[in-house]
Amino acid sequence: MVEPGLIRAAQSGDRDALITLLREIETHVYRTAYYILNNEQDALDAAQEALIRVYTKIGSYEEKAQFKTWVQRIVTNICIDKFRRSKPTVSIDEHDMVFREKQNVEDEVMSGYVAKDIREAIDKLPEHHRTVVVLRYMQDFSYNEIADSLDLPLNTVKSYLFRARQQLQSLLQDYQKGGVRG
Amino acid sequence: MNCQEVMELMQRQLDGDLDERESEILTSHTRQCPDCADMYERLSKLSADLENLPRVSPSHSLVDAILPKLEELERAERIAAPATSAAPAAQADAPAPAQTSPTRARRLPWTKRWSTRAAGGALAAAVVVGLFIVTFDPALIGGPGASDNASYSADEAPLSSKMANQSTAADESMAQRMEHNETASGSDESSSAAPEDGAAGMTDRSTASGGAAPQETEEANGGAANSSDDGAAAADNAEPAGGAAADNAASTSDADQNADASQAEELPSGTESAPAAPADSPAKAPLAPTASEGRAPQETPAAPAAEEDGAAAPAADADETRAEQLQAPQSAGDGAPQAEQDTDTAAPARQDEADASGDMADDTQSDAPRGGAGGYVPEKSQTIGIASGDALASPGVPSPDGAYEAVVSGSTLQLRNAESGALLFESRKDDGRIVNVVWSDDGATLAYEVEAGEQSRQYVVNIANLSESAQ
Repeated sequence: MVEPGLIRAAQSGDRDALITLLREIETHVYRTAYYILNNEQDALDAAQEALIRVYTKIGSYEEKAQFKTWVQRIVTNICIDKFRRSKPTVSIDEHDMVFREKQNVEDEVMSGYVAKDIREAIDKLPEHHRTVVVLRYMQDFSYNEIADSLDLPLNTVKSYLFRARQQLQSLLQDYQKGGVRG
Repeated sequence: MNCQEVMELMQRQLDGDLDERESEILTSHTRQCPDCADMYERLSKLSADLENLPRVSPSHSLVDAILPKLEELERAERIAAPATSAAPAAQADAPAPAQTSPTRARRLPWTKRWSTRAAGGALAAAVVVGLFIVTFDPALIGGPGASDNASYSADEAPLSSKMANQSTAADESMAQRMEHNETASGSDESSSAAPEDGAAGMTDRSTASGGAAPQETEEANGGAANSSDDGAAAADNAEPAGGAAADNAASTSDADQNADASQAEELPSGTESAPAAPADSPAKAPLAPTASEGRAPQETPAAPAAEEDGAAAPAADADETRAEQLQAPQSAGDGAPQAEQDTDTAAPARQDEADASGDMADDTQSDAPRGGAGGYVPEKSQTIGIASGDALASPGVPSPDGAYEAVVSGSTLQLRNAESGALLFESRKDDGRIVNVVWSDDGATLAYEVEAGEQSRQYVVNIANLSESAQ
């Protein structure tokens, strides 16, 4: 949580305050970028770009929005741009959403997923679904905060998040079952 | 309650979004429905796993990594300060000597350095002169003798009407443009600043409005003064010829266009309007460097020149035919003639080109991010003004035999007839910056590259059949 006083100082031209503020947000910015882009180098690039943008646009931030959602909006926009340029997406419909039969479900659930599997599964989500998941779990954002960050209606945010979770659990189940990677 | 509805409850439960009653419904359903119970278990597990994903941190301080870049931005801005305030210096409270305005600007905190008036003025200037360049039609110029052309064009001009209406329209369209352009930090303020400036400038420029619009009402008068004010401010170096103004505007409009790219270090993605000024207009090429120099801080402040200009131009061209001719193009091109007035290369714009430029402007602007900081516009115009000074001096790449000219326009490469400026071919839009436009020795093909991020793609245009292919 960045102090409002620091933000105001930064906005009024206090360069040191602005740099301090960037230091406070850099990890958050990077984390979002990392999980959206699933690649350290791209994440570093995107996060730096986002910080520069915060630096140059700080004057346009208005207090009616939360600072953290304003920052996340900047970084997610940059990531989505990068992502569109570099990666083809998988349609969400490619993975069936039907309830699976009960076979060995317990075993699968108990075995647990490793973080790598989850990251790979996240990487398969369409960009907006992925972004919603990242903001929900990496930034601990509420539905409303996600909606503000992404400029999406609340219901759309919910529907993206719910579908993303369904798809993730379905993908992860595939991994568990067949040991299939990628 | 069916399983599908319960699914939503499960999902919301994971986000702590259920009230007590809803939780009960969920619990009682999962108790009876093993499928849902399993699903809920899997989703809960997933959600917990997501929460436990490593909270990664950057391997090194990103802020430290970008500090040099930030300092560069700061420096660029400092350099830009005097230069850009010089452009709209005509707006400096009426009689105040323009020399003081750059100094004053420097003392302000960096966020305040760009007064909205300055930004508005710069934008207005950019729009005015940018439109001039795009709407400029060399086909209608027979030669440098402008007065002949002027009367000729006035006769030809299908849309010529009274100056009053037209210049008001110019103001309006300009104001709209500025409002539309979100890069202006306070669009309302900047648009209201424009007329105000016009009024302020009127003392100096009463001759301007008088000369240009002889039978105006007071309101129209203000409008006329305003547009010539803007025109003059834009054409700060334009005293000798519009070529210089053209280049200035080109850099400024690039700044607009690039504002959303937010990458100050990027060169202009296309020297948008500059190439529209034909290379074969001899008056312009030599003057172009002046335009970029004009942005350097040590240069004589532009305002005096601009004022002189504003006053002098109409005095020289007090003739009414000319005033009418200047208004010939429709509102999209309205700003342009003001610059023409200074240049003596007057020619009414072709309507289709004017429209095209309007569209272009809209496209660029709609891309601009919301709440973009107006302050950065001037800064970019600075960077770009310097960086592309050379390129602007020769706006198009002429073919070896001089028959054609390759012109980068935004995200496309245009092939134009060097004589008439007619568009012969336009490359397909590519997302990137067009660079390295090179003619083959025999002039049969034209190669260019599109840089997008790290990558670059090469294309070759075959002149014989006007087709292009990727390499």
